[in-house]
Amino acid sequence: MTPNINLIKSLWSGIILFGFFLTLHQCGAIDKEKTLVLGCKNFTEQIILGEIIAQAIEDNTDLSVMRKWNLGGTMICHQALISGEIDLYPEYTGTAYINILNNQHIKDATDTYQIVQSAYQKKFQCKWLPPFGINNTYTITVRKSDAIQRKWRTISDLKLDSINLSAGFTSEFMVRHDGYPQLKQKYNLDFAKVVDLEPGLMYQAIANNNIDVICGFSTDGRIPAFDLVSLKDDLHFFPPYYAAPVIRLDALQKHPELKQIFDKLSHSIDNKKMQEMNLLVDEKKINPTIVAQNFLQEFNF
Amino acid sequence: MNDSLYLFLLNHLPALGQKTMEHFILTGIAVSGAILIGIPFGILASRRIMVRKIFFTIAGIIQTIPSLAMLAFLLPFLGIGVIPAIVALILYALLPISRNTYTGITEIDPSILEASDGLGFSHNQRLYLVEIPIALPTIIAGIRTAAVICVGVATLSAFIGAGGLGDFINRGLSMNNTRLILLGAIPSGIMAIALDITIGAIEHKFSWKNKS
Repeated sequence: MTPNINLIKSLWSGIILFGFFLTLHQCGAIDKEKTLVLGCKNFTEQIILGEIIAQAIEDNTDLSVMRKWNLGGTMICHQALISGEIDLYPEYTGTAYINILNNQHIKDATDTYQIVQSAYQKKFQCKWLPPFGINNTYTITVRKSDAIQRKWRTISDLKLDSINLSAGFTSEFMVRHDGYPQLKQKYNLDFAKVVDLEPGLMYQAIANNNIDVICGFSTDGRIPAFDLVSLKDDLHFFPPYYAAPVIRLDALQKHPELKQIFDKLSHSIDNKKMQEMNLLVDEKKINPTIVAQNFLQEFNF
Repeated sequence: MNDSLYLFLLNHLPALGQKTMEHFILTGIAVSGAILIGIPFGILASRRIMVRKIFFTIAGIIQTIPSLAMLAFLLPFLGIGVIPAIVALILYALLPISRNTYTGITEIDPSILEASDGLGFSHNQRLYLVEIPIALPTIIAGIRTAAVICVGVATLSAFIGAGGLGDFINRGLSMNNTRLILLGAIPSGIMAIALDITIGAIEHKFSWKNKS
């Protein structure tokens, strides 16, 4: 019996010790009044934007930042924000306009921003801060060599050729309100084959000549890196997707010093700069923390 | 998401039938392919120690490769669509089938093998008349494991445009649409259970212990 009792004793002390450290970890050094909880979605650009915001806050205020990166998608970030689990995350105007507020009619960039701004204040007690300056919209993307050879400049140019082309889109693009089914109607496209592809493999598949058309993201560095080109959305099908931080009103009221940081970050990044930063992380495998740090240094923040 | 469940099912019924069929065919071809490759290698492994070491090491390493990495690796050679999906599935199904074949054959009571040698059986006769029939329930159990794994892993084919129930799951996940996720997940779950029960019944039928 003796060894058993010893075993149980040590097990118990182990569990108690574990619980003790867990409590310490949970409530330990964190001062809630002085901490801002930041979230972001689960893709490269979001983590870079999140890091830029986090480091700008850490460097310029006495607030500490708790990072909750890689949350699984728009809806999870949004729920976390309105329930107060996070105070801030970067969102895109078009995503909020279509996916969260369930609007259908596409507006221009300024109108979209104003509509989501007033809806968020009324419905969710959140505020859209000044946009970063990047517009990460979907772009119908083809190989540069094809575009030159067949004189494609706009999505409308694909209409006649589409019967001989195969397309690969992300699963999300296949079901969105602003995705393939509506695009097909608007532009009268009739592709020979349309398949679902994983976003990373999509770029590889078009570079490898397995498909001819993909839905790229306009800030994705792989578009220039893989010798691809975006076709102009001549019928204005895609809504504007300007990235901006969204913050809870109570957090902004509690920390008014945040305002000047976001005013300074406003329009600090253009699509080309974002493509470069995304490429550094996606292809060169550089840590987003370092990419964000370099950006802030260059920007003299 | 606003329409009723009835309408949702009605709208998706034709697609559901098609995706379920695609999923089943992918699984079927992959398991058949894995049987054709896995059983001979399992038998060979029971004869030659080098084959056993090399083959099971490779098959074991393959098993640990994440599915997305496997597809990214196959893409430059096989492109996208059904073929790379089937190759990836065969690679994942190989280990349970070959491993069970090897185990089934090596665990036969040596006295039975001595008796068959005593009867003057040739190598081939011993294999087809003694070893395979006795190992068969174990081999079928391996096929059963492989089939269940394949139904699950076949959802990966949605990453490379090979269709299947994974399309619903990926589309649902990307839009946080639970109904769409379940439309893919429930039928694939049912398919896995149905295959498990069916092959289990076949396994039981071939079990030589039942006949004695």
